[in-house]
Amino acid sequence: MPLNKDASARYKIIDSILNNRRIKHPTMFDLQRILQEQIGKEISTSTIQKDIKAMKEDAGIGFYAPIKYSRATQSYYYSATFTINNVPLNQEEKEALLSAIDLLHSYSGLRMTQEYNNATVKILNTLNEQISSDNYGYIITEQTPPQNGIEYFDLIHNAIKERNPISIVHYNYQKRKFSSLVLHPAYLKEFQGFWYVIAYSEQHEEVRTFGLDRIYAPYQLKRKYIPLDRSKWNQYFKNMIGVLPIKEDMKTVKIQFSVFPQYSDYILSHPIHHSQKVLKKEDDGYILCQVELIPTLELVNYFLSRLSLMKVIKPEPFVQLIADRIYKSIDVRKIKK
Amino acid sequence: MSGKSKNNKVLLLPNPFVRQVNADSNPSLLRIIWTSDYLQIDFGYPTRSIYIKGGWVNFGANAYLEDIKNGKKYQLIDADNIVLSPDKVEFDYNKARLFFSIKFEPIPLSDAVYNLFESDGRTKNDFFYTGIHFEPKHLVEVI
Repeated sequence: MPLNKDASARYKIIDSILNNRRIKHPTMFDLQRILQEQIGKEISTSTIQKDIKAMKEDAGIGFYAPIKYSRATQSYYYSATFTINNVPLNQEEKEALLSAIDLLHSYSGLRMTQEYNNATVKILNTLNEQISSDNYGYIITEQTPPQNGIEYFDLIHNAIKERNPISIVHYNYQKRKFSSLVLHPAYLKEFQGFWYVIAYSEQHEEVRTFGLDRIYAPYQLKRKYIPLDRSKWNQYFKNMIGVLPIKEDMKTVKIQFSVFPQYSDYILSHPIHHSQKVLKKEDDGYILCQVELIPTLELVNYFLSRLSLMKVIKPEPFVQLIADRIYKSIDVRKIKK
Repeated sequence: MSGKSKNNKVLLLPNPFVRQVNADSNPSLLRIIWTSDYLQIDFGYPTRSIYIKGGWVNFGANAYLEDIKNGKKYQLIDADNIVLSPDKVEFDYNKARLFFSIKFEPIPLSDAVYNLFESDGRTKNDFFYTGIHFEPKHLVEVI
């Protein structure tokens, strides 16, 4: 039986009643009264009976609680010293947890902190497991070389949690210029192994995205924090691929693209975005699709990297943006006609 | 603002006003960090294409801050991520960049304007910055 949240809460309360020395002979009535008081809703005696049976016998839950019923006092008790808080994880649960740790280890290649390491070791110690290549290392995620500035992740993360502005020195690759900025960080966002901070910038007087690799020497400041409208930004994130919007208005655009036959199956099974719709399927295998997204540099790059597989058709400004990139990347004079 | 009440704090001036630098190719003076033990100034320097492979860089070992009102000097005491003269670091291409910090003797926590010179006998290669405005009311406490 899966351990649902309500049942889990009831088991804990029943366990605490049976271990409470002040309640000498807890009857079904006592259990019902206390459960209802603590959970705040009506609980039937049949539910409690089922709970007791599950705590005693259910292999899925794995408590095997030694609960007995005394006919003399018409009450419930533990026949041996017991509490469900000391019940170890079963093998399946241990394996599930180890898989989760394995996955975290895999991701932590991008950002390993001492706190994370300590936490992992504590969990494994609790499970009486050792960190060794035998019990993790089966899950592999894309590894990128360490990003410059990743050492500031924890400071920025803390600033977001504590709602503290930060002073940073920022380097702009295009302008080749250093600037001193005060940011009010709201999000850390990862895209393809690189981390970015999304923050209100006092100097730019707007929300901007900054790659951690361009940040130097951040300090948290004791100054009033300017929050972002998180619900609005969560919506933006749902409507964009990547982190660098092309326009500041953050408006979604309907982008239509034709997918060549050799790629159509792939794009149907791996949609670009949840907004992807198929507008037309041609007999020769071509399909016409549409996504509704905030145009980003990463979306432009997505299409540029699939020039032989798909063609963007609408809207014109987005098509032009892709065309400009292609022209810039080749020496048109050398193309044979 | 009283220096006594903030003595143990670290205070930061994000964008100090600087009246003049001797050349556009000077490192940008980005931030000032005040503590009771030292004054730190952060700089950023993107190499210039006029120099072969970005040229070289160092900071004058005898650099000092000078209070323009009373002439009091505050000597350089430390540097982070840059070598001090006569040593120098050669860049290996002309699109390199360097973020570095210079620490001076502590200055009082009061309104003042400073000049920063790399040395007394200035040459055309020396960096200098004049009219660096230091106003405690614009400082923000570092957590």
